This record gives sequence, C-alpha cells and structure tokens, in this order.
Amino acid sequence: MTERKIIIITSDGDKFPVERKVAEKSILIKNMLKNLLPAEEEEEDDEDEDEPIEVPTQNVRSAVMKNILEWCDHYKDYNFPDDEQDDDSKKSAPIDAWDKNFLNVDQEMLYEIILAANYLNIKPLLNAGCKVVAEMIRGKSPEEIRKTFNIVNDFTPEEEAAIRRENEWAEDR
Amino acid sequence: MDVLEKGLQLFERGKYQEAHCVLSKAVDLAQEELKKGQAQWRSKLGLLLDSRAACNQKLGDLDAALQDARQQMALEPYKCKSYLRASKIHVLAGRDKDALDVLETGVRRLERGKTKYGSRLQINERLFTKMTAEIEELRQKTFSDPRAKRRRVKSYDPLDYLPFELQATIFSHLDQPSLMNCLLVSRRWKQTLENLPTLLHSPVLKRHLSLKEFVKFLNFCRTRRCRSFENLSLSPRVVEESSMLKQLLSSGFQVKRLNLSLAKYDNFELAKLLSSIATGRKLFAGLEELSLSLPVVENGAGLTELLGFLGPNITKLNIVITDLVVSKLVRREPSKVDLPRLSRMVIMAYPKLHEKLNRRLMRVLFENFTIDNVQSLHLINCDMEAVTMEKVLQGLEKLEHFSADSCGALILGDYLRFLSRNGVPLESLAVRESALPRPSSSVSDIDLRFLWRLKSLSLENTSLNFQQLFLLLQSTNHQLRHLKLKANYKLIFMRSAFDIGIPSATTLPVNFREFLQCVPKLESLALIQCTNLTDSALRSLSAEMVNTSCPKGLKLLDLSANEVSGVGIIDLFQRPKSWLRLDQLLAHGCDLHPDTLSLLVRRGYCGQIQSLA
Repeated sequence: MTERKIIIITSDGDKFPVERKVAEKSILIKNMLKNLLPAEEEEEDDEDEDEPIEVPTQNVRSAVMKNILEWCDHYKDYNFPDDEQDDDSKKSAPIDAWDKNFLNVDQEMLYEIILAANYLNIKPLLNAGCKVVAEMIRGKSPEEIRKTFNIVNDFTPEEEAAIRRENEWAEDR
Repeated sequence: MDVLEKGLQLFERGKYQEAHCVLSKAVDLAQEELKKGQAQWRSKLGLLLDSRAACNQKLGDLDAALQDARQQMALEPYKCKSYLRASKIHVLAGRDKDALDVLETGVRRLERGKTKYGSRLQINERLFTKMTAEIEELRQKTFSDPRAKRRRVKSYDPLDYLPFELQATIFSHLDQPSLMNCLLVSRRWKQTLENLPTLLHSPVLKRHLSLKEFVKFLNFCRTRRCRSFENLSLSPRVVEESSMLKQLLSSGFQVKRLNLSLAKYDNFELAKLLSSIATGRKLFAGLEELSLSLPVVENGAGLTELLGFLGPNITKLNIVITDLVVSKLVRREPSKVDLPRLSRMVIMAYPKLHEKLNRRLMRVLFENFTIDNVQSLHLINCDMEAVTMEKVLQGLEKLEHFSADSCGALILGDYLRFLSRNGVPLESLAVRESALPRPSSSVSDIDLRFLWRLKSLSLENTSLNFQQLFLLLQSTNHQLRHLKLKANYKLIFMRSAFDIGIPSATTLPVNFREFLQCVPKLESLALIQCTNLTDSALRSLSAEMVNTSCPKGLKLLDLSANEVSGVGIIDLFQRPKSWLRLDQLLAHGCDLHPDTLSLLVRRGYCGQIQSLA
C-alpha cells in the first residue's frame, strides 16, 4: 500500500508536499491526520486513495513553514523522549548544536518559529527556541539586553537607582 | 578647570576625537574628587559631562552621548541643559516619543523643585522656556505626523512578539542574577517579571549578606507577596546572627530547602527562639531539607530539642557541628524525634571536639531518633560507642549507602558485623578508621552476604590485609563499580626484598589475578598511598589485566601518593595486547616528568591526567 500524500498549506496559500513522518513531528498535524485517516490500517480500497490530504495551517506563513519543515525533516527518524517526565534535566540540558545553528536566524524569524512551534505543537523545537532567546538574555547587563532587542529604556535615572537599591540583597556573580 | 577650556577649544576647532579624550580624563578626575567628598566638583563634573555628550554627539556615538546626558541628569537634576541634550539625541536617533518623554519628565521634576525650594533653587529660565517650547513642538510632530511612528528604530522585544506563557518559559531558563538584570530593562519587563511566580523561587542571596540587605530582601518579597521558596541559604554575619534569625523566623516564609550557617548561635538558643516564634516553628516544621552548621551545646537534650521542631516532611538532614561545649546551667530532658520520611542524613563534627562529649551527644541523639526510612547515612568524626552504632545500624531496614569516617574507636570489623546483623543489601560502603593504631579486624567469621549488591567500596586507614579484602570482594558478586583503597598499611602490594622467611597468610601480598577476577565490572579504581605499590607491582597488575581481561570498563585510575614512576605507568598501557584506555588518570605526588604525561595523552592512553608533584 502506498502512503497517501500530505500537503501542508500555509497562511499565504503555498503548498508543501511532505512525508507523513515529517509532518507528524507536529502533534497538531499528527492528531489531525489520525482523525482524517481512521481506516488507514484496514487497507480499504477507496477510490480517493491517491488523492493527497491537504492540511491547512492558518497561522504560519510559508517562509516560516519552510524552516519548520527543515527542522522536522532533520529529526524525522528521531524519537524524542516523552516530555513532562523529567522537567528539570530537560531544562538544564544545553541546546543541541544543530538546533542552535538552525535557530541562528534574525530575531523576528526566531519569534515566528517559536510561535509556529507552539501552534503546531512541536515541543522540542519550542523548547530549543525558548532556550535560544534565554541565552540572548543570560548574563547580560540591562543595557546589553536593551541593545540586543532594541528596547528603549523608559526608566528615569532615579527609578533605575531605586530598583538597584531594592535589589541590593541579590548575589550578582 | 583649564582642562575644560582646552577641551572646548579642541571642540570648537572640530577636533572632536581629541576633545573627547581630554574630557574623558577630566571626567574621571572629577569623579574621583567628588567621591572624596569635594562637593564643589559636582557642577564641574556636570559641565564636563555636558561637553563630552556634545563631543559624542558630534562623533556619532549617540548611545554614549545619551549615557553622559543621563549621568548629568542624575548629578544635577535641576539643570535644564541635560534634558535638552538627551531629547536632542533622541530626536537625532528618530525617537521623537522618547525625546518628548525626557522633556516632560524634566519639566515635571523642575516644577517639583520650584515648589519645594522656592527662590533658593536657581533655574535657567531661558532654557526652561526652551524646554516647554520644544515639548509643544514635539507633541505636534509625534501626534500629527504619521511617519513619526515608522521613523522609530524597530524593536524586537520578545515581550511584544510572544504570548505570556512563552515569556514565562523563557524566563524560567534563566538564573536569578540574569533575572535581576531583566528587572532593569524597561517598565514592561519589570512588570512582566513581577507577575511570574518563578522570579523568587530560589533567591540567591549575597554570600555575606548584611542585616540591612536582608531586610531589603524581605521587603522585596513582601511587596511581591512571595512567601514560599524552593531554596534559601543564609550565613549571617556573627554580630547580626540573632537579629537576622528573628527576622527570618517571623517573616512567615515557607521554605523547602533551608541552608543555615551559624557561627555563634547554638542549638539551645535556636530552639529557644523557635519556641517563642510561631511562624518560625511553622517554617521549621515545613522543611523538606535542612542543612545546618552551628556550634552545639550539650545540656542533656543535645540536638534532640532543636530537631524536634522538624516536621514529617523532612527528607534530608545535614548537620555540621563546629564546636561542642557542655552547659551546666540549663539541664534539659532529651525529647523524642520522629522523622518518618528522612531518607538521607549526614552528621559531621569538626575533628578534635571533646571526645567524651561527642560520644554523649551522639548517644542522646541516636537513642531518641526514629529514622526508619533512612537510605543513606554518613557520619564524619562522630565519636560513637559500639553499642550506639550497633543499635543505629540494626534499625535501618532501608539502608543503601553507609559511610563512617573516623568515628571513634570503631573499626571495619565492627561495622561489617553490625551491618551483617541488619542484613540489608548495601549499595555503597565507605569506612575510614581513626588515625590511632587500632586492633586489626577479623572478617572471616562475619556473614558478608549483605554485600551482594555492593557497587562502591572505599576503605581508608584500616588494618585490612589481602586475605580479608579478598573475602570482601568475593562477596560483592562481581558487581563492584568503584573501589578505593587508601593507606591500608597491612594491604601489601609487593613483597619487599627485605622480607625474609615464609610469608604468613596475613602478610601475603595482593594476588592481582584473584583481585581482578573479583571485580570485572570496575569503572574506577583508586589505589592511594598503598604499601609497596611500586613499578614492579604495576607490572604484575598490568600483566594480570591482560591475562584476565578484567576490568574492561575501567575508566578512572588513581595512583596518587605511591612510589611509582613514569616507566611503571607507561608499562600499564604499552604491554602487548593491553587494552587499557582511561578517561582519567590521577597521579598526585608521583613525580612524573611532563614528557611522560604528554606521551600518555598523545598516544591516546589517557584522556586527561592530573598530577601535582
């Protein structure tokens, strides 16, 4: 039995044909397919067997989808361990080198990938994305953080000094 | 002040770089003087900063210019010039809205100053009017010009792009020092972080926190309605111990893991304090882990009175006794301490504490303890009588890890006997006997079957010989992963040339073949300060390793403090058919030549070598 084709349609109408196991990296799509193909195993000889399944994703534009699918393709043969089980070790684990390189994009794209991973329910990618943003903040001074994200300092010098005084108890390594 | 003149001259001639240089030096100097309390430098520094800001502006470094202007604002809040400067820089950077903000803040501040100080405050009216005029202009511009918004530099603030739950995930990856910096990024960031429950989960307090800083911390927590913590670690200054403890205990906090280091406050005083502060009792009763370092007063009840305040949730207890004195003033009856969920207990007494007192303290403690669920027990310098130790070890039906380091006159044979009567299979066992010469243990008459699950064994300073070690290792069912043998003087690794006569069973040297066959799964082996562990002993060891093919998984070898040379160590690896490849070799005090070390690494024998002469 040949596998039915899956076509992902992005918000701007582009179509991406993908392998099923690539698409199923997204739990959202996986669940969708489960509902659409209940009889897959029973080898029913439907006439629309060859008809590709179209999966619309309203919230993701094609430039972002291209990246998401690249990620899914890279990990298509890798089974991620069940999440939730040891939250702590997952939190402290460093970012995978491939992921880090993959997520080395401009900030706007990074945010869009994170949002798409959240919407499509791709936990490992979401996790890596959040970690990359956290790394942009870690160990930086407030001014450096502002520079990184182009944020305007809206504190008056007095307010800033007051906050610093309030935080005097904290170890600033 | 001629520096300022010179700077201004350079500035007027258009030599901004040089002017910047001259002014920066002057700024530093002025800051120094101001720190010394030379108040007249305040206005000079203001002027210098203003000029440098102008320089930076001309040089195109708008951020630096803005910094200077802000610094001047903080220095002289009632000078109009700095606000005008800052607003101009914002306009140049295309941030009209910020420019407007700066001016509005400035005008508000100046007006407050006027009402507060009246005519005593001198304000440059001309510049003040200019400020209000520019405000009008900017207001018109920002609100009427649709391009104004677009001209702003685009911000990539993650808080603008991502929903709250993802912001929370991102911040949850950060440690506290980073989070504290985040509080200072912008009002929005501060607000967001303060709504996150994780901000203060495990606050990292300054190592030498003063009482004043601790009170600030309490206020910080109070204003954020934060009352429960995962971790809290406190080591107050000696003179502030009492007040800081009172503050902590009456704070109403709930803590999971408390780490408390006290230098003067002892168990009796702490117990007294707890009985008078209800919130403190609640804090203690709710603890899951307690790490306590303090001097101890023996008043009949010893530590039982204090530990009686712990609740049923406590799972880990770590006590360091830094000093031990007897109190004859207040006599107390020991109280029963029931810690049903305690799984790990470490008690460490500083060495050289009063021997008799130490023994009494331990007896009182363990006689009144109910710790049925302890899986891991570690005693360091706890001077214990055999009867006490026997009673303790027999009661622990879930014991998996046990270590006793210099606990009174007890020797290896005693521990093994007590543990065998308990019969619970241990996973790890470590014994170090006290430094004094002790009678040697006999193990042949002890049922060692409780060692069948043993993964880790460490013996130090015992009078064990090879025959006895062999019995122990045989009982481990080939499961041992980690073995450390240190300074066991009767465990001889090679017969010395000076030995004459037929060796008796007790002085037989290590038989490496028998030894290795008992420990095929060994991953780390430490042979430290061993009797006659020489190059020739290493040669026999490596020959038997090849013969027996054991232990194939060995990754760490420690040969510190032995009379071995580079030749012997290289021999371990170079023998024909040798398969030994280590992740780490430790050979402290072995006097190895640097060439030997680099050769071992270069050939891939060892991943890493540590060797201090």
